[in-house]
Amino acid sequence: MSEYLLETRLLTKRFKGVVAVDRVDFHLMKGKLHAIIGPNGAGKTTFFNLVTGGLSSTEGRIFFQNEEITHLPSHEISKRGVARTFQITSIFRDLTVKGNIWIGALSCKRFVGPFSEASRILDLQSKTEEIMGLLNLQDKQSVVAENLSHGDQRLLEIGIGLSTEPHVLLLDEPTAGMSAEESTRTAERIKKLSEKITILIIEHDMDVVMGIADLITVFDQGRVIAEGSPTEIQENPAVQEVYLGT
Amino acid sequence: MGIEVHLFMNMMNGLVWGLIIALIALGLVLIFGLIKILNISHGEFYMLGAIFGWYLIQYTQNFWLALVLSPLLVAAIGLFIEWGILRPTEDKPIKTLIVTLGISLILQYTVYWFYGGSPQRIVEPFQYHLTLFGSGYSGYRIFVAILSMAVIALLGLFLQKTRIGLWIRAVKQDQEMAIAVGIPTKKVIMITFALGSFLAALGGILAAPIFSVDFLMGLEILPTAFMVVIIGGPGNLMGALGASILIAELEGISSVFVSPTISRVLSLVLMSIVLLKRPEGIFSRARR
Amino acid sequence: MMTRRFWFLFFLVFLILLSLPLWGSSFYMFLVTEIIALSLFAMSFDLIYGFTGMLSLGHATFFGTGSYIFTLSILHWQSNLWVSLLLAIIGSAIIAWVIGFFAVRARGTNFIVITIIFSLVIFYLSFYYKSITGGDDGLPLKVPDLGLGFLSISIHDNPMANYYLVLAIVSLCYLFYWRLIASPMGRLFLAIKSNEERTQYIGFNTLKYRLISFVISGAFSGLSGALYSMTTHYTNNKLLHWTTSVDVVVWTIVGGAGTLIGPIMGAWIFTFFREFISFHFKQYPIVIGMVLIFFIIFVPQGILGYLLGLIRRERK
Repeated sequence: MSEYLLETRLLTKRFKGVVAVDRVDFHLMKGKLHAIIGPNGAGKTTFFNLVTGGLSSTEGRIFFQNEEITHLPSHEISKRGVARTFQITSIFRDLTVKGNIWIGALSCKRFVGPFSEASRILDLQSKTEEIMGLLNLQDKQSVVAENLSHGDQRLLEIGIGLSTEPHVLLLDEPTAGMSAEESTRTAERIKKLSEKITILIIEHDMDVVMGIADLITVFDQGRVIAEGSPTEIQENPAVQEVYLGT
Repeated sequence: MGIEVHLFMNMMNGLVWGLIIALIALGLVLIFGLIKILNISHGEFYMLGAIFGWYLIQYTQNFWLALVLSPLLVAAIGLFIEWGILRPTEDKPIKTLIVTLGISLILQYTVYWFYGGSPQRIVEPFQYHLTLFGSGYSGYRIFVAILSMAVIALLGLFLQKTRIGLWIRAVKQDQEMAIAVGIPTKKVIMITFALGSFLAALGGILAAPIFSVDFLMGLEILPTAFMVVIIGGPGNLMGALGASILIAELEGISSVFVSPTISRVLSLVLMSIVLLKRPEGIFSRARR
Repeated sequence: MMTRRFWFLFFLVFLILLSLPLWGSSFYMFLVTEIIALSLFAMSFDLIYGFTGMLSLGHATFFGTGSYIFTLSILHWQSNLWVSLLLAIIGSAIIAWVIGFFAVRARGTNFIVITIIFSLVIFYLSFYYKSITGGDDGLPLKVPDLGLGFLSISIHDNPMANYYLVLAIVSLCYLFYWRLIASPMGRLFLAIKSNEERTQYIGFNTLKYRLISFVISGAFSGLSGALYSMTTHYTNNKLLHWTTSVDVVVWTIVGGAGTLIGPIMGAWIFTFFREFISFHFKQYPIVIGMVLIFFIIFVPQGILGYLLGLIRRERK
């Protein structure tokens, strides 16, 4: 038994000869806000895709809560409690805000019925209200998602993830495309969320990461080159060379 | 007639038919490669080629004139259709597919209006028979095979050596990049569509003396052309050529032993397997 | 307010339909029976296209299969009317499951191509086994009497009974679909249409639900085919043909995909249109092609979608 929530052992992914993720041993502790940083093409998003079942690994194994999830399809992994967001916002664009979160909440049900009336399932309704309240989206609940601002769309995607009652939330550059002010607000929100749930975040914005993360892992060319607290990472010469130096 | 002779005949017919299909399918694949649209009306350009050919021969009594003029006329129609009807929806593949479905209905029944519903024949332009394996074989079919091969070779040269060919390949690779380097993408798509229509129409008039000419012949060729696109790999020109001949030979040879309907079902099954197991086509080098 | 107006209209239409045999001529009654049967086909197509987002260009397969199973079970086994209808549903559901098993694994253009191809296989087979299917000459049918316990009603020679039977069955199916789209499963279908990848990542096996949608649609398309044959007293392989698949696509797009009622409106408009124009202008598919292109380019939401949009804007 290991105390890790999520663990990878020698995880490797090759695309036609290019090694995108190279023998990564990664450990995520329960209750932490853990960040992955690294230059473009370091394999961060590929790593996310492997862990969430979007891609199948070439070699290596993945464990979640001590159960092997290597090669499971994405919906199975989600069922076990891994939720994620995407670098390019992925929401149900033609459903309302409420509809988006409601579908996420529905995924916790064992049976999706063809007869019961959706709007009368009370526990799903209250769950949806709760998540909208948590993210301050109640005022916009009947807005169709594609009409939301970019920032609200990204927030909604986090809401969809949360509504599936996950044990860990994987956020892929949640502040991408946001103004400095919006980024700060989002960072605060993520920090607050991390009191309730384990979060693994990929982030480009160094200020965001240094301010909120408990632990940072640095990727470069598919490998983990450093891991530690924000201050340790800032002082690490190897990191400075590949990341901060440029 | 012994079974070897029968088999040989079917293989020869399969080759001729395969090359005609290749002409049609290459047009389809060119268009698919460029704008990612499966053109359901493509079969109608094949049909129009044969229909215009029939009319031209009626008026001029000259097959060779029809062979040149008919594909050119159809190319002009293709040009107009792409420019006038398809362009507004080209960013939405499913929408465009439905639009081409509408075009297909319009073309079929316009022809039906003027031409009528009954099939007509075009006689072979020359009545020369070769003796192969002690049995006569139509010289016209040999001519069709040679001409088709020549046209396919010319198409290859056109794509490799001319500026427009280079543009077509560039747009196929990356449309946004092509716009960025100043290639007139819209014009390239229009020309490709016309070229595709031209090839289909050429196939149509070449096939006309072998089969017969009617307003539904485009619909009959459509599944075969689609199978070629799938088996050869979407957007893969060499794959399309290989797949055309493969399908025609498969159907030709198997029809010696089983009914043509069953041999058609066989090739459809082959295609379904390819779709599921190798969506990039069996002639593609890329492995998943 | 809006829902009350809707219910009023709905009730009105239903009253007109209920009373039709009292004032309509036998010609109209026959035509309307046919259209009601086709309405079920339209709704079923809308379930997979308008709600789950899968464009099938081979849906005639299920319509035709249902019609054939219905006819053949009566011809060969002298089975009773209920059993034949049930067999039509089950048989088309099985075919839909087999085809769907392959088709749902493909997406976009490939999905469309797979559905076209399978429908062609079945159509070719119907030609090949002409001795069973009757090919394009078709098979005539003597519809058995309707057994209701102690009572037995003739359907074959009684257009009114036939009309009410078809109306009753299709109305029940409409209620079923209406419940389905308001249910969690219906919401899930819409989510899959909107963003299948996202739906997978929140824990749904989307292949399974797309297949369920496909099979339900196929089963009820089959029932629609059976009701159609029950009304026309014959079946032929034209019902399996590509043009039948195209018809239902046109009804749905012009009427308004994703509205359930819209495709039914489409079925009514185009069947009436064909009935009256085909006699004078055999080339009427030209008009259909033009209408289809017009709608796709200028009114992609269809007639009903457009009207609903107007109402919504008015309310704001």
